[in-house]
Amino acid sequence: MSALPKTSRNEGLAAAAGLLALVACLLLGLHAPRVVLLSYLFAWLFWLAPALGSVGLLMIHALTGGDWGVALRPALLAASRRLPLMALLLLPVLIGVAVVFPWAGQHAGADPAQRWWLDAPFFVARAAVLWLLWLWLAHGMRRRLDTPQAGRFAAGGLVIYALSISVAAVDWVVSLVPRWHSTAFGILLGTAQLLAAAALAVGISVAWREPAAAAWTSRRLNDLGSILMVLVLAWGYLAFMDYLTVWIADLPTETVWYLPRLKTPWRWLGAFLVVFHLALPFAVLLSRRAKQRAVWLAGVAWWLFAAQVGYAGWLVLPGLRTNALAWSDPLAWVGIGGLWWLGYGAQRRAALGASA
Amino acid sequence: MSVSCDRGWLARFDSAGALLQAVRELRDLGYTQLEAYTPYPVEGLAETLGPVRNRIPLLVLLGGLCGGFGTLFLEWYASVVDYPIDVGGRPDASWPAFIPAALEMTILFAALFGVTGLFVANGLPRLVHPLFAVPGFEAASRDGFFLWLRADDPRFDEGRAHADLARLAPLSIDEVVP
Repeated sequence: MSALPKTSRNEGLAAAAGLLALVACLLLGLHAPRVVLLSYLFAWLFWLAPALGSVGLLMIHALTGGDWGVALRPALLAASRRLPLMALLLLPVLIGVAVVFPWAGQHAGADPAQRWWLDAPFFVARAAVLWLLWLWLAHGMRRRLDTPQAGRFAAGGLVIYALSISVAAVDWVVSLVPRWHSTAFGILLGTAQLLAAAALAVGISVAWREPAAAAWTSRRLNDLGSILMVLVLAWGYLAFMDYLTVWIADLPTETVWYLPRLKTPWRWLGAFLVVFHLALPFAVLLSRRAKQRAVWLAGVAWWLFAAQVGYAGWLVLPGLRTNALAWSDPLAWVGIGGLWWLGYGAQRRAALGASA
Repeated sequence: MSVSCDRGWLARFDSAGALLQAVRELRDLGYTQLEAYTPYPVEGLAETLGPVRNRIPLLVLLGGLCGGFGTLFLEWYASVVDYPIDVGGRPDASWPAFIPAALEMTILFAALFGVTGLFVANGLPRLVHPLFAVPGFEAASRDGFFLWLRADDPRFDEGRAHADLARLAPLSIDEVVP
């Protein structure tokens, strides 16, 4: 592990394209900083999910055990090593906090009761504490894998993860909509992160498995499919329960989040998520034959990962700009995504070699 | 698999490995109607006995659909047609609020249909089976590994089946008679 992780040619190309896209974002941002920073926040949240969710899955596996975690571990470890990069890439949001977040702008109308929490220096301090915690969790979990302390560390780590993701969700998503609050939102965002991480790890581990390896039995494929199904169901359940309680209570402080999402053409994104992020993957994963066929399983996993783009957009974009979509949306996505993969393949192979 | 058959030959083997080997050889000879009885689950035995095609998954799906849509209909009928009440100005047909109950009933009915189908397809409850009359069969829950070659097998011929079994060197072969 002392040698520097090598990067493949494709990863180098992706990173170069990513850098170009980020430069383009910066140029666009000189004209319309708010539009571009929202795109950036959307893209950053999307790519954060597989990195941070992987740490969550590693901790869950340290507690529960099982063959699924052994199968996914190399991909999860490699994804968890994206965290320092993601911490660095939060900087533009922290610098532009007064541009993106309505409570920090000139026309700040934040409730006096919320003002002590929604305060720019405190916001930056919270982000720093969250990242110190997460980097420590990721590093600690990687070091303790397969040691007797792994279980205890993971138990405490999952508690920290659940609490810290709630703080992060309130800071980076909920506070975009003034006066809105939701008690289920942190755990919902955490579940979506676990789903994104599992989908990416399953997609990569199954598509690039050693075809000759005896460990890749149909039972292992079945387990991986079941994990994906559980996460799809958990995400769907939490998202629906959040909607149901808001719908039934019908209070202004809660509906303010759903109105721009359901009373505008954004509702088609909601319909897309219900059909293609919940119903269709669930129906496919219900079939044991589909789960046990590597092509189908990898296909569903990649599909779920791609559909998370829609969910990240659903979280951030509706109702905050005059135009629904901007050129900076795909640019920011490519920009962060291109850098994300740098060194991934080599780190995954190193973890594969270590576990073999 | 039909449940009506209660004839055939019952062979006893002294180990799980011998039973597995016997099943494999009989499958190679073309026999399909085989049943095995062991004191503990034997890895790979179910697959070796051959693919099982049954309609339980379809029945579970039907049960789930009946429970789910039936509950949605019941909720709609109760709150729109039979006894509409204005609850804080919400619509009578509050579809989002109907979904949780419908989901629970989907699961309940899927399970009920599946379990009921399991009993019917296996001919349960059945208190007496001809196998119980075979001497020593109670060892199936202790240390006996039994293979029942059913008489409704298309390749079954009383004399030849006995010979095929005898070649596998079982501890004993008994006739199953109703």
